[in-house]
Amino acid sequence: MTIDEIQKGYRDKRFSVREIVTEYLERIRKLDGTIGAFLTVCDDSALQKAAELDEKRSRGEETGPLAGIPVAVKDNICTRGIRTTCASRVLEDFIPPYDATVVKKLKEADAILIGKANLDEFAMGSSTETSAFQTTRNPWDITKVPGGSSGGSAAAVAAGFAPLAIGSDTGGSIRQPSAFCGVVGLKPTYGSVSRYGLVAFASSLDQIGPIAGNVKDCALAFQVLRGQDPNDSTSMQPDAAGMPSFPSCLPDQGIRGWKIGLPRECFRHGLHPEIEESVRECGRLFEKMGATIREISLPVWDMGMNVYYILSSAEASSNLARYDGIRYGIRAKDYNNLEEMIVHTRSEGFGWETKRRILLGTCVLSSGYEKGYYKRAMRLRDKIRAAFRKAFQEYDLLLLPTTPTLPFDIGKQHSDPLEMYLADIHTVSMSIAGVPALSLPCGFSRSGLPIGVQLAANHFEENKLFSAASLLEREFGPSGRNTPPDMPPVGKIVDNILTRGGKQY
Amino acid sequence: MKVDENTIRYLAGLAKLEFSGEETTRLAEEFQKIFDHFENISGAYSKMMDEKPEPAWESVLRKDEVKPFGSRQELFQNTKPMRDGFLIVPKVLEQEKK
Repeated sequence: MTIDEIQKGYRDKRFSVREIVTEYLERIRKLDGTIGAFLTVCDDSALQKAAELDEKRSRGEETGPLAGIPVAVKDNICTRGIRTTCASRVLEDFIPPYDATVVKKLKEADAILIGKANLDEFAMGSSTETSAFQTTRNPWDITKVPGGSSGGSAAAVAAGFAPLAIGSDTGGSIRQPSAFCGVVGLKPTYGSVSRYGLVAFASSLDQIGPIAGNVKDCALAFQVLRGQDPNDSTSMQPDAAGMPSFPSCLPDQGIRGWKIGLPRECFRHGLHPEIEESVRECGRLFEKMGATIREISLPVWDMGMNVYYILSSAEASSNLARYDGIRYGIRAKDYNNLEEMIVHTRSEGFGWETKRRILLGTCVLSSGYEKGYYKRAMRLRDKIRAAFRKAFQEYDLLLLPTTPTLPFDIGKQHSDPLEMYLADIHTVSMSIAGVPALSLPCGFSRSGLPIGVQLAANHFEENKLFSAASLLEREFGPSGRNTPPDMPPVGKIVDNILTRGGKQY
Repeated sequence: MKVDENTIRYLAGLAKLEFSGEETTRLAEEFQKIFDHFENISGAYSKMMDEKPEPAWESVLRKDEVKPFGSRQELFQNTKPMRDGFLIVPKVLEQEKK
């Protein structure tokens, strides 16, 4: 169900918030045993909030823009009083004493936190298999991964466990799972959404964004999430940065006359032929709508992955130094002195991929290697930013695949780090440049797996992404209306409420 | 960059992590592959030696003001064993054995 459909149902008094939340919780209870999207389901607090909202509505009080909308939040985003684990043993008992700014904003908008979604440990991975607690399965084919690291969030939307989910994207962690699960995911401009309360992986790249069943819901959620926050010194004032005020940019104004670049570096060896065909078809559709499509060259593409892994691992090694067993998180049981306590806590608490990234980051920051790797990568980041700036002087949008492959088998890429890192090859460069990018479904492979297309725009031009994406969505149909073949249609939620007694509100 | 098991042991010490012998061997092999892949940044970097660095971004900092947190119990709910408001950790300074 879309946000519009649910809210229309509330307005028309077809059902109450409590009924909707109860049905979503029931669907999670029945089906999430197979999918594994949630680490925590917030039954009691969600039902309590639903009852409060019903009360509020019955008194005729005004409600927020996400009133009564169940939302899944990635478990690396702090939720006051609700366990926030980052899918790591290190934080398995951590209960934040405060809400992340985005959670605060969701609550102010009257959204209902329905659960905390699984992820790769500390958001490091592309398959959600590095979670210390469970593997999430792709609702479209449960033998496949949902992508990562926001795999729980994307799978929750695809499985109809929530119409909206919040993820975080450091090098593709919203876009890649959105493509694999056939949903819409936005990595906003760096600085447009506060990171306060997001457990840090790589602070100069991390960005929180929405995942939804359709473009409009994604845009509505972004409108709620964005905004300057004194608690995040890297968050920017959108209006000061030239971003148009919101709803005006959603009703698509058409893209006639727009210039769209197709970076040829993305279409080389390694790209799945069905993904290439789907992305090129999107180009042809844009041309029919009056845009000009040009192949362009972005030679910086080739170094993007290396720059990303050097910088993100360096920042991770620094950010994750705080997990020492002293103040919070787990503490090892066997040790003889302080040094041993720290080493044992970290070695027992972190999973393999997290340790590998910490070690990689330690290496590129260590004396003798810092100049050759970290400092060079920082200079190359400038070069990548400059290349994007130049491209967006001429082009309104870039059109490219989100992923080089279709969703892969569970267990397939986990053992080879390079193969796993290459899954991010089409998403990392936009993260390095700090520009916004959106993935949306553009059809299915012959094997029935979702294919995602990615659109990227200049800083703070999310409105262009939403306009173009909503036009494409019209061609392909909103993903929120498609239900994976083995799952009961999400529309059943309303049928269940109405057949169960049909209490009218 | 040449990576061997000694490199891994040295880095593990810096990162306050420990690995078994088998894990150290595995990491050395994986890191060698990763650093071989990283080599393309050297070529790209040498081509931009004369280019000016981008201006650094300006940080906008809030005022450094003390604000009460509210619930002290909530603030310390995640802490490890405490005594008299302090965290209990193993001894840092020990008497030198004679």
